[in-house]
Amino acid sequence: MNYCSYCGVELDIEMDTCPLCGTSVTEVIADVRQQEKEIVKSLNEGPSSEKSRITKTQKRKLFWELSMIIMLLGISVTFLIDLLTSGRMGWSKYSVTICFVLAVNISIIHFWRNRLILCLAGSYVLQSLLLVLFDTYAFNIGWAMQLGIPMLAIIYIAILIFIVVIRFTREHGINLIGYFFIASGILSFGIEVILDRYFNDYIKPEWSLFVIISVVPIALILLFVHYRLNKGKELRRIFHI
Amino acid sequence: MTNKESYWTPLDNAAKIFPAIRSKEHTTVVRLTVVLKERVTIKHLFKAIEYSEKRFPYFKVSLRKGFFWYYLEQEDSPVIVEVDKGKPCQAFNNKGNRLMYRILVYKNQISVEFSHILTDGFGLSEFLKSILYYYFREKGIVQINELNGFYNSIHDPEEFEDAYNRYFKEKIPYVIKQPKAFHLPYSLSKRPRFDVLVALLSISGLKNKADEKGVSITDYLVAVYLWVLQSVISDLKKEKNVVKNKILRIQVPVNLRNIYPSRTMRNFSLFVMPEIDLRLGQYSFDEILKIVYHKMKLETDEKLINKIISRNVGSERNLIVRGIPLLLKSLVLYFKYYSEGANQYSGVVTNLGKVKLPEVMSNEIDYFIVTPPPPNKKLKLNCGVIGFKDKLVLSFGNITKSKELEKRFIRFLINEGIKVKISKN
Repeated sequence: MNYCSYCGVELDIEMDTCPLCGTSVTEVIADVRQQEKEIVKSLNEGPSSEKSRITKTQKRKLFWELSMIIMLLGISVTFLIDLLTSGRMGWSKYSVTICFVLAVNISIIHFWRNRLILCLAGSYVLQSLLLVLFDTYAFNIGWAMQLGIPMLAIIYIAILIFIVVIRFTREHGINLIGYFFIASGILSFGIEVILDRYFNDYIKPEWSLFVIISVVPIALILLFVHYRLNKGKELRRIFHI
Repeated sequence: MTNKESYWTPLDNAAKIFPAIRSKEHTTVVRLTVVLKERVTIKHLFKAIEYSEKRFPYFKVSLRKGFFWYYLEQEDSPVIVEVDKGKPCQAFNNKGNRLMYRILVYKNQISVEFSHILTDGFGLSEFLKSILYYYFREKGIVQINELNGFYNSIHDPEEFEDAYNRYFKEKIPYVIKQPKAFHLPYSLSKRPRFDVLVALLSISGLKNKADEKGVSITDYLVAVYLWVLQSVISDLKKEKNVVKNKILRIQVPVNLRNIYPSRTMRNFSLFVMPEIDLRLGQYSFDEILKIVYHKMKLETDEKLINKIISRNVGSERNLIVRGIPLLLKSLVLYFKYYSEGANQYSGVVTNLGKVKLPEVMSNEIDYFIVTPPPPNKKLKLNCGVIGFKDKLVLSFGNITKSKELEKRFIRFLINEGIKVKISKN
């Protein structure tokens, strides 16, 4: 009689692994069989299947390495061309800055992909730096600090909330478009507040209200259709009192 | 319950409180274990589970939020079958598989864990019994014609009715609110808190003792519980501790199917609460027994039960209550539970009675264990009781650092001449 060494239940004589916990009946036999299976598999696949055996992690690493090479090339090539043609760093400062920020952004996403807040915060700091640099290049009129960075903050907060909502929403469908519409309405309101403060010194929302009035009903219809379709034909189950 | 349109149903009256009060520690998950004489044959068990899933489709539901109330919705995920090596009665999470029951297996033990939202002790034992029937049929120990008709039939709509609503009578006065009861003073243990101590004793030994006093086994155990609580209070007083509430009250769930005919597998039980008031003085064990005996007889009277159903279902039917949005309703229920409900009793004794199975199956089974849901922070301790053949199993669920009550309880039984064996379960 076979017994599982982990959960102790009785197994059929032909069972190699316990269907309950997945533990091998006899480690040695299972190991040998696994090795055999792997050998047969590799023989069947042959050398042409090398690419398909690249894991997701390896793919991500490859993508990062490739991106870094491209960005580094972009930086050095544009800088050298600019230096050789004009004898100083002129237009290339834009391309160098963009390539640098992109490279760091990709690195942040690559290394902190599982840490949402850290990833977004790092990216936000970088984008802010990009805006400040652009502002400095363009006669330092101060729009980055007063306009660019606050707007960027609202956009990043909206992205964060949107990602959190996606994670907590069980069914993904047109409800996400609905949430996106609501987020864009709130976003436009925030942008108008920042613009009003910058240009007029007072806050009087106008166009953003029209955006909200337009998108919120559409969002509600999308959410209604989504949840109603998902929950079956009766609304009674949601609103039973 | 057709596949074309997914099945949904409101929660039954007793289940309505559980979503509001459940947490990672206070899981409201109850467990029933069968200990077989031989190792579980996993192939046959999987087959048996498959049949049971089909026999009880109304348990394959998940908890959903409506605007006013929670409701149960058909969930087609396969039932969770796991190795039983963790803590008992763990909470069900809402991610992935959203079913509210699971099956756990280890060596010669099969356990089923159900959220109390789905069913009570009766439904739980019927489900485990069905797994056993199908399991032994697969093993060739039971023949199809030996199976109870219930297991060979498809489900009846009455099996998932809310029987409280069926037997609700309008215009009956509500029960009067009772004063607060004593709670054990022990400090809570570290999370995860829930710990279970299992004690095995001979039914005949206990039955003889109960018969001598002319009471039932449940009455006897409830009296022991009260007596032990009284001794705890005496010692607290000796140590000059202030005891605020001197009423000792034990909650004893009663299966209403014995009073009102219903085939429902959902919750259909209420509580009887025998009590002693220590402000009136100390009680001897015989005095406690007398009170428990009469209180149990008196309070299981149909008319008095009507009163409790009327209170519970009446508040559910109240238009103002119904119109409160779910979030607010849950908050109110939570605070009401901890400010009133949990204050009502000092202990719980849940007796599922004696499990009866055909002789051929009984020969393969050693005993059953019922583990009541982890007690709340005020109650701290509860006790589950179940019998099979001559083995009675007590399981004490405890969330404190102290095992004082269990020690006193078991010592009392031993002093009465009843042999008690502590199990490693």
